[in-house]
Amino acid sequence: MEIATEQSNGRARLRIKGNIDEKGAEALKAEIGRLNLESLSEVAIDLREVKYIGSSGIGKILLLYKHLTAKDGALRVENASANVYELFKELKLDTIFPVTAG
Amino acid sequence: MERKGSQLLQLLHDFTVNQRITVGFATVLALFLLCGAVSHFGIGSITDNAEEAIGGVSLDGVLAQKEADHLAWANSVNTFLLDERVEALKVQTDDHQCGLGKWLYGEGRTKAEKLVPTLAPMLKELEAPHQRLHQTAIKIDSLFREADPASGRAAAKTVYLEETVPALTEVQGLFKKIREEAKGQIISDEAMLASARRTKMAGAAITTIAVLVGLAISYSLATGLSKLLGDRTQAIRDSACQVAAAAGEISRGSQLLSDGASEQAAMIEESSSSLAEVSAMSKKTTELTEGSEQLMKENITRSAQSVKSLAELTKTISKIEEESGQIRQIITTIDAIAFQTNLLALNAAVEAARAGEAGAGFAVVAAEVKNLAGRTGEAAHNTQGLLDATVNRITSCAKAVKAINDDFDAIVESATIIGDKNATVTEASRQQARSIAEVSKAIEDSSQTTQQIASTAEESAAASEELSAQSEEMKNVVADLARLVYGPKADLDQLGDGPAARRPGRPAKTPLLLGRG
Repeated sequence: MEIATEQSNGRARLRIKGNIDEKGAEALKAEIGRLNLESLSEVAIDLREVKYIGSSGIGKILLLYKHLTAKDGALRVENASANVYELFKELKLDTIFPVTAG
Repeated sequence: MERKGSQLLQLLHDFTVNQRITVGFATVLALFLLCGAVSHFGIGSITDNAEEAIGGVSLDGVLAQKEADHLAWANSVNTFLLDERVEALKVQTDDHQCGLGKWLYGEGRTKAEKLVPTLAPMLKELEAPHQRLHQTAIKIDSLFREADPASGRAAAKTVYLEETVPALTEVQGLFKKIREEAKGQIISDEAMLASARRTKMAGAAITTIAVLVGLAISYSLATGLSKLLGDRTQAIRDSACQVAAAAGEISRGSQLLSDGASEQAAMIEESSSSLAEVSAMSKKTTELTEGSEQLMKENITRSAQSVKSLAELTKTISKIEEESGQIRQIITTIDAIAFQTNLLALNAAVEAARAGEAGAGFAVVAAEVKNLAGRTGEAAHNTQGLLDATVNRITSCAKAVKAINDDFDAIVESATIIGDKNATVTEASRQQARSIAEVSKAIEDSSQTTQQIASTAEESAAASEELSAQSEEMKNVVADLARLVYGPKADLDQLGDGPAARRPGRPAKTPLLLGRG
């Protein structure tokens, strides 16, 4: 799994490529740890090239959401593939933060 | 040389019977063909020699005749010159038309040169003097005709003596050489007879050799085949004994195999029932893990909602903390206002006392204001105390929320990781179920195979009995074969008794070459 991160004007965008399994979730957690959340008002996660995401990956996204919200920040999940989008809907995550299908 | 001989013997030993017989007969046939060829060419040589001798005798006769003809020709010229009664020279003047000329420039010379090729230059040498000889006749005739008879005849004589006679002598000399050369080259009767004798001797020698070689080959083939058949008979007998022993071993092995197959069938049955239990457990595990997967999804949904609520709670508490500060500020302001009011009430009381009677009513108001300011200050002080307690509680609450936040991070992380682990267990259970199904199939196949082995073992036992009977039959065949090779008195004991009595130096498993090639 690969993560490409772009930051500008208090916004960050994480483009993930590959499957977010248990190992991928740890990589995502490490990447989130490298972000300066205090200075970010919005973080977007692009899942265009992700075909599978496990519960560990979802947990990491939830915690990112929690930290951002505590500082009045916002999280968006974008371009989710059909399977991933269905999973997010099933887990009602789209009621927590915006989720768009790719 | 010795090495080549041993290699040839080895090659012959490696030959099949078919090849040996073929080579033997081919050798004898080749010798007889050689004998026929020697006879044919010998007789041909004798015939050629005879033809050559006949041709030589004929050529000598022809040459003698031509020489005699020219002597007669010279004699005619001489008679013409000496006998005055003869008035005309009646001899052949053309060297191509005389007897020798026709022979020399015709087929006779060609045949002679073919018979004796060394004659060709001599015959060529003969042409010039022969031509001159005939030309002298023309000269003599012309001299005789042109001149008066007396002087003409004298001149003609001179020509005869100076030209004709030397030319004739030269021609005769050459004739002599030619005849001697022809005689020397043509085979003599004695030589012809000696050649015929040699041919006869050679034919007889080769025929004798052919007969001797034929006999040697026949003897060698007969003894070789007898030895070969004897050895093979012994080998077959040994094999028959070994086959009988092997049949016994196969029979015992089949029985062991049959017993083993029965035990294995019982073990397979036990394994099969154990596997059925494992399969049921695996199925249950899969069901459980699949159920927990759904629970995990519900857990994540609730966790997400809790995260949302917790985030909002954290924000709210932060705001309350902020607002507590503002309230404290307001109370401080109120407290300050009460203090100022109290001071103003004191000033008003002093001014009322100074005014005396006129200020008596104002002094009452000032006392009331002071009383109110004191109560306000007391209320502000009480509120401050309450607010401090509230702020302390809020701070404790914020700390608790922060602790919950930290714990919740760990809870969410652990719960979601368990979800992945659970999914892995579910997949592993599914794979296990598939593997168990495959193992069950393999056990079923194994059971069938075991049954087949048991069945085959029984068949093998029956076949080994049949093999044993066949080996006995083979021994009878060997006895017949031995009688065929060694005659009616053949005794198998002569060949030895079984593998232990095998003749030394003979390999036990010599390849049987009878059917090869």
